Amino acid sequence: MMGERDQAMRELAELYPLGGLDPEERAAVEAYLASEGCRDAIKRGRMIAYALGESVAQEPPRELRARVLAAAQPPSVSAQAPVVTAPTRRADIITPWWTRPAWLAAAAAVVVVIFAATFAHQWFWPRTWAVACSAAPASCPSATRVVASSGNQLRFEAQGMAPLPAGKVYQAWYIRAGAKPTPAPTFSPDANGNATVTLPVGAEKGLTVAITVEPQGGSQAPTTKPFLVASIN
Amino acid sequence: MCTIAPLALASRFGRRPPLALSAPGGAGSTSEPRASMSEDAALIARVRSRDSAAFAQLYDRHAALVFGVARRVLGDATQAEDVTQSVFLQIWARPETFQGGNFAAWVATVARNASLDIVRSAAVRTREPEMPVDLPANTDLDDEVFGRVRAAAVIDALRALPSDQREPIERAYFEGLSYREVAEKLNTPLGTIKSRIRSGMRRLMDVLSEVGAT
Repeated sequence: MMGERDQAMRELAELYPLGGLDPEERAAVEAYLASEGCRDAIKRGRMIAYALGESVAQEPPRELRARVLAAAQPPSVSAQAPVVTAPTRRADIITPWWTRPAWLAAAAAVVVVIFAATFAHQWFWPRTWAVACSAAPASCPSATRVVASSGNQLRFEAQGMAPLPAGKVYQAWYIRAGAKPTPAPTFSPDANGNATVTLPVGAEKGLTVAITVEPQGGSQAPTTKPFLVASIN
Repeated sequence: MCTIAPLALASRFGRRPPLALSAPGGAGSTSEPRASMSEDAALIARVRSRDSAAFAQLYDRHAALVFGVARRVLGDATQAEDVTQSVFLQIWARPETFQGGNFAAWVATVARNASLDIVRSAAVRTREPEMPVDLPANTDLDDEVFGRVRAAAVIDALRALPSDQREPIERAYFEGLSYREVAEKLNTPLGTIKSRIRSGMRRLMDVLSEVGAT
């Protein structure tokens, strides 16, 4: 004979899988089921929940498949092309420096030094700045930097960025001293956690580059605290 | 010994033998079974070893379910695409978050929760973002309980429910409302709402059983 408490719990257990119970009811059901070792009622309820999902199944646009699969690259491809790479000169690709005649290397070095000393230093040896992460270590990217990619652009680069929930994106900002943050593009890491974003601002002294999490589409002003910050000095 | 198995269902839906991989062609069924547990398990194992071909197959098998749930919850196709992409890329990035059971049921829950997160975050803009997000842990879905749910049969079953039972069920599931909130929105006593939901779920299970979906 089923007692009143069993009856009440049975009824709550039937309602449990759709998720609408009050917190105290949910806790009571979970405790009761755990103590009784009975989960059939919940399993059946979950089947209905699953059936509800199946009832609204709908083919997504075909383009979405291409986007998803393109973002999910096997490691053999992505691992060979990390987003943060040192600048590579064409001569290094063709012939390693140690195989070239010494005089050629010396001449090249002289040219590089003279050129770098004048106006092209940053083109060949881009200036970079460290990025500080204020999030929990587990949520911080494994590698980050800001690079002066040209005279009027900075580039934020990261590896190991955490994926975001649907509807959220990362957004870059640059902040001049005493001014409000200026919104820069939003971005999302690829399936391997790599990300880059270009900011339309040069390496101005005193500039701050920051990264926040924003709703899809970005924000005009930060809605969360920046967790990645770089000071351009 | 379990004492709370639903009375009307316990005998009718007792333990069943493991399901065959192919579903019988029930009358009115228009779609192939979406989930074959052993095939999904094999695919997810391959995804864990970074097999992109297996990931593509997993997408092909379940994208409609994920997209459909997201679109139903969000009411917006563009956002539903975002959710679908996010769910699958998280599966690719962290396949270990699925720990067994029925993959289709699990991924449907993931899609629903992700979509409800968007709805709720839109309502509460000041909430701190949840990052990085963990996919919901698998909840011990039983292969033998979940069966050859066929979309057409389920739609028929839902349509067969009286609206006063179907609406609170759909509102609770797709809108993520508590039963108390459902009762308030429908201006109906909470006890009545709970009773209608229970009756609807029992009837739905009966219909699903009759069409061989369980």
